[in-house]
Amino acid sequence: MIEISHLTKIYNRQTRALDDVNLKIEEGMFGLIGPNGAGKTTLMRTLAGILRPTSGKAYVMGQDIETDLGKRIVRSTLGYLPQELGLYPELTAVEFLEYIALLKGISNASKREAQLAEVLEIVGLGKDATRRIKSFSGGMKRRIGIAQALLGQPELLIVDEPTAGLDPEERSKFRNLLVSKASHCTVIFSTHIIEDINQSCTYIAVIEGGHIRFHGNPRDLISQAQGHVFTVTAKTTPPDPSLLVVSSLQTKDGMEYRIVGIPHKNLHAKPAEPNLEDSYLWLLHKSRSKLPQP
Amino acid sequence: MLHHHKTIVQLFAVIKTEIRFCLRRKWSVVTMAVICIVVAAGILILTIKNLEYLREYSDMYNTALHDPSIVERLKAEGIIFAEMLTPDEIAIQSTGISLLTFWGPFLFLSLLLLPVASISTIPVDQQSGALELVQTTSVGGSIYLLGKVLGVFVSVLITALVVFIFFISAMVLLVGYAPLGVLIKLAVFDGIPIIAWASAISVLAGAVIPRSISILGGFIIGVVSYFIWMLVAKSPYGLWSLLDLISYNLFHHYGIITDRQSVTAGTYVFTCFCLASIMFVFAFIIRIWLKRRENF
Repeated sequence: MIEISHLTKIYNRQTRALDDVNLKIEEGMFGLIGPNGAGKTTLMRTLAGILRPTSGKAYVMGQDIETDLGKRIVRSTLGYLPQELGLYPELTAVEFLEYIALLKGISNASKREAQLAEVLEIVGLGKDATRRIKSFSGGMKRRIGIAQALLGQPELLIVDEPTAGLDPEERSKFRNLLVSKASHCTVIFSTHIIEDINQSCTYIAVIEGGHIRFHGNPRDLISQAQGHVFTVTAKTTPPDPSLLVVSSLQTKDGMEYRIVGIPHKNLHAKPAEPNLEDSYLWLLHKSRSKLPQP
Repeated sequence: MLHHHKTIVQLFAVIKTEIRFCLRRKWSVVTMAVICIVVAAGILILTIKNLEYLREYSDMYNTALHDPSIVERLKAEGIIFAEMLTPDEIAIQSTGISLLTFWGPFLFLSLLLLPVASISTIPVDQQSGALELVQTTSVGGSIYLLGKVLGVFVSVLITALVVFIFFISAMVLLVGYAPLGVLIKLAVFDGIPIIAWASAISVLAGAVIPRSISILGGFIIGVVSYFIWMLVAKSPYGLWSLLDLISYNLFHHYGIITDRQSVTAGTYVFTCFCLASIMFVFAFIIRIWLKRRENF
């Protein structure tokens, strides 16, 4: 479905946002995680044909996204939710969605109306369709963004930080919606909320500093962190500043820290079962060489 | 055929949305409305004042015409009376003088201020992320630009038309006469090209001017526009005249009042062609820039 080879993007001849990225993305739900500034948005914008790569190639649905024809073909079947929502606050929800539907080429009025009603229903904004967007809450705006991405029954759905600003219930609903869409199209889901990825993606990639640090299924990433996650109890401060503290909890014996790394034997650290978040942090810190090596 | 249909639908979608956006966000519309109202009020007030003066003058003239001793005395000094002005002619004269005074400033203000009000059309889309969203649809960059320009143009035109209708009604009510033919000719041949130019140049320039300096950019574009029009139109009153640029003397009504030479229809068409060519070259450069910079 998507093949990326040696993709590099350099901004202003100095900032290397993507550095020799190689990736293959098949149909289904694909999660892209990484810290802020890792290159997630640059990669997604490149795949959507918004940015031109500095070097390397990306083929989406067999089309070279650098050519005008390829770009046009990809865009005709693309649903895209940018990080900055790009809404017109002066328009009502239905006016905005109609605008996007027309730009996507849904020129048949009855089909368009049916799709507008459908996506508004999916995101739960049917009753607010005639309200101006500027009167919406952050979560409602996000849902309008999601609705416009679903217009035109896209074969490729690229969503950049879609759950930011949504409450837990809305997040869960939205994840389920994406999973259901992924049964018949490719969904690329970028986030830094590990929980979203954990509960929805079959395959993931971890990106950091413009490099792909991991590509595979979440279980493989978790297995990489086996033996590197511990819990340790200390009176006050973390016992070893070189260890990465994932979480801390106040108990009657003092502070219980969940740590990633290789602790000293005299710390009496207890091994813990790694989860995706531990594994992600282990991977990043290993790549930055900040954790003590065995 | 299907592709063309889709493109036209997309163009109309951009135009319709821009009109909605302009009418609700109001900057361009309010600016145009203020310019039109100020000019219309000026024309009305001056016309009423002129009318009073001309009627008084006409009465004196009428009295003199019927006094043979005065006629003979003036004739001996080489002064011959022409026909007495009818009430309609008096109204035309007084309206003409007011138009002469205010039409130039209308054009000048439109060229200067409309770009300031409309230049943020594309920067707003860039800043909000709307441009990024539009880029991922199948609409082309040229259609997007054209739609934006036409959207702003139509919004401003609707505003001017509404004020124009009110102005005509007020004139008929207060003066008892409105030179509809002259006003429509002026609006069509002079007003519309100016509004079209100001809308187009501001929207296009907005694509390359950052949002943070858009007002200053709009002002500079307005000043540059003014000088381009002056140079191309070759105003008979010199480069620095604030008066009309193209059709100032195109119509005989003006010629009668001022005794100045009218430009011919051919000159007018040629002038419009020159201006359209300049705009086309500018639009082409902006299109290339958008393609290179925004990959759109």
